[in-house]
Amino acid sequence: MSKVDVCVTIDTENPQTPLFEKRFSDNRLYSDDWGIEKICTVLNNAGVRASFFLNVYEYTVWGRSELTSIAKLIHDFGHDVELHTHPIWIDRLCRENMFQFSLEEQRNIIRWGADFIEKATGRRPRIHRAGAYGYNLDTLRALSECGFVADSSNYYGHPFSRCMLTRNCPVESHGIMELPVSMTTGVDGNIRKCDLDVMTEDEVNQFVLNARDNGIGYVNYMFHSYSLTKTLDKFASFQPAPEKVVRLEATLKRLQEIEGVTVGSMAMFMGEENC
Amino acid sequence: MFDKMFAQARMEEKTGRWGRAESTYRTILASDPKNIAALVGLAIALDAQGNSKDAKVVLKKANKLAPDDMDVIRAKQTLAAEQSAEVRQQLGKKASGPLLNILYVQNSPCIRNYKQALAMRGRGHKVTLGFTDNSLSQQYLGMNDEATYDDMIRILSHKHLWEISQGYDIVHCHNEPDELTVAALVGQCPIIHDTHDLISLRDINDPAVKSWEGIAQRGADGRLYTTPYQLNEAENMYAPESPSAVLYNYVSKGDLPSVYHGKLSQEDGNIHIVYEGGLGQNHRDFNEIFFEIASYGAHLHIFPSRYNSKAAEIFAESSNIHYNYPKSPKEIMEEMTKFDIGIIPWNLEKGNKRFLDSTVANKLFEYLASGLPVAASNIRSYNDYFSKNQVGCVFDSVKELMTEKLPLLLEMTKTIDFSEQVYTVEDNIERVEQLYYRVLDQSDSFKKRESHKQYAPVENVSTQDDILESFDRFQDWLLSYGWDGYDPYDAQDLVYQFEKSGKKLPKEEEKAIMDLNTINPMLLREKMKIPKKRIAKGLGLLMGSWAVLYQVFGKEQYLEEAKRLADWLLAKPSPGYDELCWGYPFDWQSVILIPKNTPSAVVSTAVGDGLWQLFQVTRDERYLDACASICRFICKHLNRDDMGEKGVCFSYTPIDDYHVHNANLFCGEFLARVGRELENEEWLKLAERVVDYAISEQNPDGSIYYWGRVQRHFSPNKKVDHYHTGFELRCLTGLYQHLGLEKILRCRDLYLNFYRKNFVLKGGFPNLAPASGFPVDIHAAAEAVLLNSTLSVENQREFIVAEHALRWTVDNMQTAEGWFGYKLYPDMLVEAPYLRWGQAWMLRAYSEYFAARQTLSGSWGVYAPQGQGGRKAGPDARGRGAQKAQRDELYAQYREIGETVPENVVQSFAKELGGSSAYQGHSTQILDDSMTDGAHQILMPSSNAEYGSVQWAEDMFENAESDPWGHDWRASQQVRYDVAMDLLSRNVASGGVKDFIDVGCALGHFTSRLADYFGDARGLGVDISAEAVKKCNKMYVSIDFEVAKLPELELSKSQFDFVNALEVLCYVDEQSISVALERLRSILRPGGYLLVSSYLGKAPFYLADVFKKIISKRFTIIDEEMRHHNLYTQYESAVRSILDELSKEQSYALGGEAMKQFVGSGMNLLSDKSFLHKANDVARVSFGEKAASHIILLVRRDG
Repeated sequence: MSKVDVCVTIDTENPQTPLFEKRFSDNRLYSDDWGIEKICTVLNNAGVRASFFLNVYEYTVWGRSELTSIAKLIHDFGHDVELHTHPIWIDRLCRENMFQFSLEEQRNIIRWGADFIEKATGRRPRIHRAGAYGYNLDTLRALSECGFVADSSNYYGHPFSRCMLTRNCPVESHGIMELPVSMTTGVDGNIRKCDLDVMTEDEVNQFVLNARDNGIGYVNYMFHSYSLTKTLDKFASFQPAPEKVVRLEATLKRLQEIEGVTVGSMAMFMGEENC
Repeated sequence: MFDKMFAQARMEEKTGRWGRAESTYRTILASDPKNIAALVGLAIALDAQGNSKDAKVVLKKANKLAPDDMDVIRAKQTLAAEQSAEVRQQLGKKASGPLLNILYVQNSPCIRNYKQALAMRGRGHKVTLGFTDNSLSQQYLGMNDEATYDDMIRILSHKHLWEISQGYDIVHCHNEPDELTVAALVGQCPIIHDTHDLISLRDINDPAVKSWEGIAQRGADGRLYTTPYQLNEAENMYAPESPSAVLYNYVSKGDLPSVYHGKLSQEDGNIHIVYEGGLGQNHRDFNEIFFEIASYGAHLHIFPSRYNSKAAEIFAESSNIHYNYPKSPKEIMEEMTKFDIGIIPWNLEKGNKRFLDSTVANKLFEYLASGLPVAASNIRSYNDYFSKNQVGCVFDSVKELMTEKLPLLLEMTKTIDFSEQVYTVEDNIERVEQLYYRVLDQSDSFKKRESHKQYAPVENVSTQDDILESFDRFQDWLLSYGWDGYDPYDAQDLVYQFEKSGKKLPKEEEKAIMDLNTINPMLLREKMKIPKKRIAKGLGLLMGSWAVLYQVFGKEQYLEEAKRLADWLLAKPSPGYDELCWGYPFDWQSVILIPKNTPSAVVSTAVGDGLWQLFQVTRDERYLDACASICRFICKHLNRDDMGEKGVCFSYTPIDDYHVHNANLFCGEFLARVGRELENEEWLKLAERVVDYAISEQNPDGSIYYWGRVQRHFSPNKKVDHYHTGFELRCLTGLYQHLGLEKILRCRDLYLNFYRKNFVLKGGFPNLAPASGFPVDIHAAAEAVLLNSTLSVENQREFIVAEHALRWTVDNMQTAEGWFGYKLYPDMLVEAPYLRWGQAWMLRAYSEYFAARQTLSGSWGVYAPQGQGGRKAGPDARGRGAQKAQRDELYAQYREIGETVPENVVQSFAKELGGSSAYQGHSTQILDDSMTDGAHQILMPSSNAEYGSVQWAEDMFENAESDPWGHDWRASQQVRYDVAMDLLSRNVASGGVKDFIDVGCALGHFTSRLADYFGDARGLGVDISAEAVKKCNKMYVSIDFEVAKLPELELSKSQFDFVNALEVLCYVDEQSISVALERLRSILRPGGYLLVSSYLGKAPFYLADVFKKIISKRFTIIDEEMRHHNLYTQYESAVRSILDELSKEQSYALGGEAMKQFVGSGMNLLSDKSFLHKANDVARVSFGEKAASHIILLVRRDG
């Protein structure tokens, strides 16, 4: 019986475009009902440790202290705060994706973000995901130079993933383990992520079983910090979506029941949880 | 000794008086026959007058005297270029008139475009391709751009198109879409609209597409069609009046087969049919037809325009169908000689019959030229063609073709002499040329030019590359020059050093030094052995510039230079202070003496800006810490005058108590910038108080004087200059971004108006002071580029100003070595490479220009609401692009989660962006029901309340980020305001009104214009919306605002000299209109004036004569204006949805950046009045009064 490591990863950010266009002015990360506190609570109730990819660069909107508190909150809940890079917030040229920056610039962005998280939580992040999956080989080089061990930006078929290293299997490149976004192609030909917003618990279950049966020992179950909501006004406002909470709870439970499956954070599986 | 005469000759050249220039040069040569500059000038003047023979003789003489002289070399190149044009003219059939400079415009060039370009070039004309998406080689395999066009330009925006079109004799727009023709109509050049497809004949029910087609057909100065059927259809539909011609899609001579292969049928005994062209959906869905042909045992050879692997897969199912890779036209035509019959099928079951009836495909002529008879689907055009020319036949079904028509066609191969069936574009292009000449005969500017010059040499059409070239020269020089340099202050310092050493410098000598410093500064420095100095301010500017340039170009060298500068500066702050600060390295005699190295606010913040930029790039917090230290220096060591509510002013240095606004604003902006980064509330509060002081001293015209009012005696003549104004405007812009306070934006915008009126003139000429003209100071020129580049992220139009200013500066003030001169007089550039004063500021200008250029061309850039990455506190996007961006975001989010966008969401956006509106049901006078005031479709937030009700109005103002009707930016609104103000000013003296009321004032934009016009009159604005009134009261202190509603209009005051009621009567229901008008009459004093207007249409609006009738019952009409905005309004409504569709097609991955930028420029167009004026004129001429959209009346209460 093959084993499967299911990594739970959460992109922790505000919806980027409406934020950039100032369609809301309050930080949407905190909320007992659906924000990161709720996610952490659900995860903790299920006994699952997860990786939160925190977009620290939003600090230019909310302030350093606010982002520090968020990082600390996640850390205090017992989860791993990893680095998520949406660099537009610190770039005067409004470049959205990491691949638009030079190696030196990417190195600087990553190092600063890692420093920030380390200062806030006492733990240095070791895993990275580029915002909108917009990475290239320079991103891996920069990560390597900044002491990272893994990256999770590869989303096969996504136009911003500028190096398609793999579809679903982890692969090492430039000294960095690439832990891709797990995906499949639906019957309609559309690419579907293994994502709380995309797949029901049955589908995730089946996805993981397929992975196991095909000898793929790794699945990335991802979602966003605002995934436990129904979005309104084109992502500019949210409403709690209890059914999504139920879906997350059920998914985690089902996954934990599958023989050979372990659910946890990326750092756990990489043996980096104590870094 | 000939300086004056040369200046005179140059002026004559500039104004096109070539004969006079010739005579001036001859006068110079009479005294000095070997004067090279005069010989070159004479040659150019002779050539410009068409006397190229004599020009060459004169130039030969100059060349003999000075073969290495740059002017001689350049003149030789110019004449050689003309010569090659002449030679080229000999090659093809000579043009039947003057040679033309033609711009072909198309999103991506098509084959028709390519063929015409080759044919026109063959006749000696110069043809340039303007494209938005792909060049020819990108579009078609095996095609060569350079062999087809003389030049190619990627069109970046509508404005760019207008700009470049000025350099051509004629702009030939190839459709489809027709949008580029519509955009080109705004330019100054005559437009030919080439109708490849008459889109409205297709089964397309998009009124916007048809309306664009109508504008293009009616607005173009000349029209070209592919068939006479198209011409007839177009004339029936649009009744255009301009000259027209028909040019079938004939074959290009160069593509005719040079090799004729043997027939395959003779080898294998099978029938071989060929199809070349596009495959797709609707009438191009040929799958069934092809398979059926194959089922009869015939072989079908397909040459698609683009290879499609899916199609290849499908056709692979039949061994008789051969799907080939695309080839060049020539290769295909040679290949086709192997086959027996060419086929032109149409899937008529899928519609578009009327459209197809008007077409004749280019493949008809290509088959014929390859010696093939043609079988075509039974449509009118081919039926007609084959009845006149027995070279093919039509068929209704494949069965009919294969059983009945095939023998006939095969017979034709034996009986027809196909060499007589070759029709080429080259043999027929003269009719297009004649069309050009007919159009140009009506063009005054062309006639004028042709009267003195037979052939206009091609103007150097400006591209951005010349700026890059100038920058390359500049940076090479700068990087090798070092950090020590001369400064304009050297001379004053020299005088002061004499005095300091106790020696008294005689007045005459002092004057001589200062004069020499003006005329020949470098000579003074050489003679007096003045050493170069290293000035922290200059180094700070260089540091920031290199950091920004590194972001733009990614050159490591720039970053290294910035870091080295930072290292030096951080090691050498002003001594004696516990925080980082810097001063000038010379004593500085101001009102008091400021000893050298005394730290100054201006120098320290300039260095601070450099460190900040470096922090942005490196994210190295050491640089941020240094910025924080500078802030602490400002707070701890500069003197601070706390004036209570009036604000705070920091001194210039720790040893003075100056109130200098620019220095104070530099401090405030820097405190805000760093304070926001580090969440330092104290610095943020101080920054706001700094702005308060500037606002309190802002003059009514928007300007702010150098000195604060308490110290104005230091400079009583109240001078304002370009660069200090620029400093302050940039600081105010930054302060607004960091603090987000509306009061700062108001102050900035008012100041900006003053700047725009006074400082950058047409063509980018940077005035040093209002109306100052020459001399131009390099510092002013740099600031013109820097400021406008900074602002361009907020408003793209500023980028054009920045670019003009930069190009002007490069053209006029850059030396051959790359550095910039100090001052430019009409006939002299003062050549001194001052490092701080000129070079450092120019590098800063270049860096911001390139950053803006990159940001604007970036994927999010065109929608970027503001600079610095869209920070929280910045200004909003003012409504533009918001809905489109919302939709894009939503779609992106769906894409991100891997789901298809649900149909209902797609439809809701289509509805929002394209069609229905709050006004649906109120049809307007022409075209269709979707035409309403564009604002409702583009801007208005949603409201469920009843239209026109109080709640509705509240929703409008509460839900909108800016004015919901776009009163503050939409061209349509602005022009109506302009027209209303014209109407007012030509009839009512501004001094005759003591009080006025604006009924339905919205956010007070027109109320404030009335207040400006009436000067001291007391103004009152009223609106139904309490929210609007609240906002107005915050914005305008000198005008009163209150809530009131027609028809009751309960007011705090009973009567006024002037009443304004623009477009408000539509909100009053029909039963109450009399009461409302009576009420308006009652609040107007006898003899007073009412300005009233209405949108024209069915209820709740009025028809023009009805409106005049009801108004004239109670008032005497004094004057009136009609506007014809309907076409524009439709354009305004449609531009978003259409451009959205276009941009949607071009995903990021497919390299749609150019398209995105184009979309952005389309949106920008909505605030451009010149386009509206043109559309207004086209609508008025085309539709007459039917296109009237608004009526504005000025009426008087008599008795």
